[in-house]
Amino acid sequence: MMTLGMLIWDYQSENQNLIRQWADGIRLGKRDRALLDQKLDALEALEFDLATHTHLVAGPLRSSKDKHIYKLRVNAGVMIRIMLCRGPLNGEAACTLLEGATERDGRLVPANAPEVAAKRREDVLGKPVDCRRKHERFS
Amino acid sequence: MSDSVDEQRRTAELKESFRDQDVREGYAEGFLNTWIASQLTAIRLNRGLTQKELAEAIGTKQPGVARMERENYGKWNLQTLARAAAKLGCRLKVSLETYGTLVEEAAAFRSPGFLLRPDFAHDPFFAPSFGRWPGLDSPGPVGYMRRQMFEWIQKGAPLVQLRDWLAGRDLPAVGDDQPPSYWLIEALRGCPAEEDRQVTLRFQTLLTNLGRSGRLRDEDLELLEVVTGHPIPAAYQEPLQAALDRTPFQDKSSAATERLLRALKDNQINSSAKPIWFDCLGADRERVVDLGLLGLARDSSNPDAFELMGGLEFIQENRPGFETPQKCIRRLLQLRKEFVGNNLVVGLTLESFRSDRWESYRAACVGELFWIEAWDPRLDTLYQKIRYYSENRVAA
Repeated sequence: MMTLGMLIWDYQSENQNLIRQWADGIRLGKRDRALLDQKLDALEALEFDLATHTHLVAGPLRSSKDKHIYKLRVNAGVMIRIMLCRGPLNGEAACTLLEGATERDGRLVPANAPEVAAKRREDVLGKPVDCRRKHERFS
Repeated sequence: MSDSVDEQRRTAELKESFRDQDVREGYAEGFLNTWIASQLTAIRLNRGLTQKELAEAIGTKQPGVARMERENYGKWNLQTLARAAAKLGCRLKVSLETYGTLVEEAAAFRSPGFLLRPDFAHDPFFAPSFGRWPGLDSPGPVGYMRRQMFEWIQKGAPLVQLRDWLAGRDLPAVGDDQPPSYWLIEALRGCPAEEDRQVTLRFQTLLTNLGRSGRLRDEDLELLEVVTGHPIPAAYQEPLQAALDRTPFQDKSSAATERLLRALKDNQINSSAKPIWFDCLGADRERVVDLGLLGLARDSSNPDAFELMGGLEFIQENRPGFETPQKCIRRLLQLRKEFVGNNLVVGLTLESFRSDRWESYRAACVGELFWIEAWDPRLDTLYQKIRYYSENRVAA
């Protein structure tokens, strides 16, 4: 019997899934949504180290002060870069999607996505029940 | 074999979403890329090869292999992949498939272990005749279980099935008050080394992958309860120990920890390992404990016990790191593997954190204690020093 290797959470605020809202806001196509779902499935299955090694996940980002923020890289029709962190609760085999972003000409849009993600990580650490929910698929 | 709820749910979700052409094509493209890059990486690491070593073997350079191991690369060359596969002891398979098989593969893909393939020397199909297993034709429970194992080998020795069996699922009772998994373990014991090598390797792989996701799951615990309930053959000690070392026990409320505590209380754990398990449960996650060594230190009949405990306390006080960069961990594990059974503890110590670099390595042997510190990870130097101390200790 096999089960999911790692839990994935979405950041939420006032019971709104901000990751899902971001995906809806940038109007990802069906193919891109499927690609994004697949990458998150892979992240669930692979060890974080292996995901980093294969460049599915990059980081920790230098632009984030506390070095806890990584970015999921999905080269679809849009260069999708989702800011995430491991855990962040002690000892849990999980990662939390904190802020959605895209990349244009090598620059993140929005540019302050790592800082926003770092702030949200602190929110999750403070109120994990209120600030995250189980990941909802995009397609 | 029973599917888990997660697998069933995932299968249903994918099946529904794949009715859309864009979705299934997008998912298939991503899955292929993930599969190639991750499998190449996982098997290369499994074989203990560096990117440079693999590159030299397939006529390219290290950055070429690094590119092949990136899942966004998307420009793999079939000839190069075939050469890499050959070097890794496998064949390359390219096949046009239905989308239905993608649903099955994606739903079952739940751990890096799913990507691993044995090399030719360990290919179950070419294993020596299992017909020579003693007792294969006997009517008793051991003979029955050996026949089950024989069929399992013929089917390609799927780890998922072995895990289910050892966890007590899908094996019929064999007319005894012992659980079927007990007889399965007994069937693994006492076979000539050559005959049961394939089974041993698969079982080692299973144990090695325990807790890889960073936590010990319920089914892992079920398996540990079974294997620790019997005197464990030496070949399984090392991967089991590695799994335990990896396991953070700080989540006292988890079902896994509850099960472990219950196994301890119910005397299902090998008595010599019992104090060590208790110690792990109460330990800070940042401790690195060599369980075999700790057992020696607690053994009052061991004349080196006092000095050994001093060395262990030093290691614990200096809080060797738990989470380390991937490269350091891999090399550390190689180091520990080489010196396993040599009463050695090696830990990584975080002196000051700069980026992702660990700046100090420390090691202890029975009756001796030494460490080096370096501004850069220099395991080669440590390796030489450990070898020196280790050989001298053995000579003494």
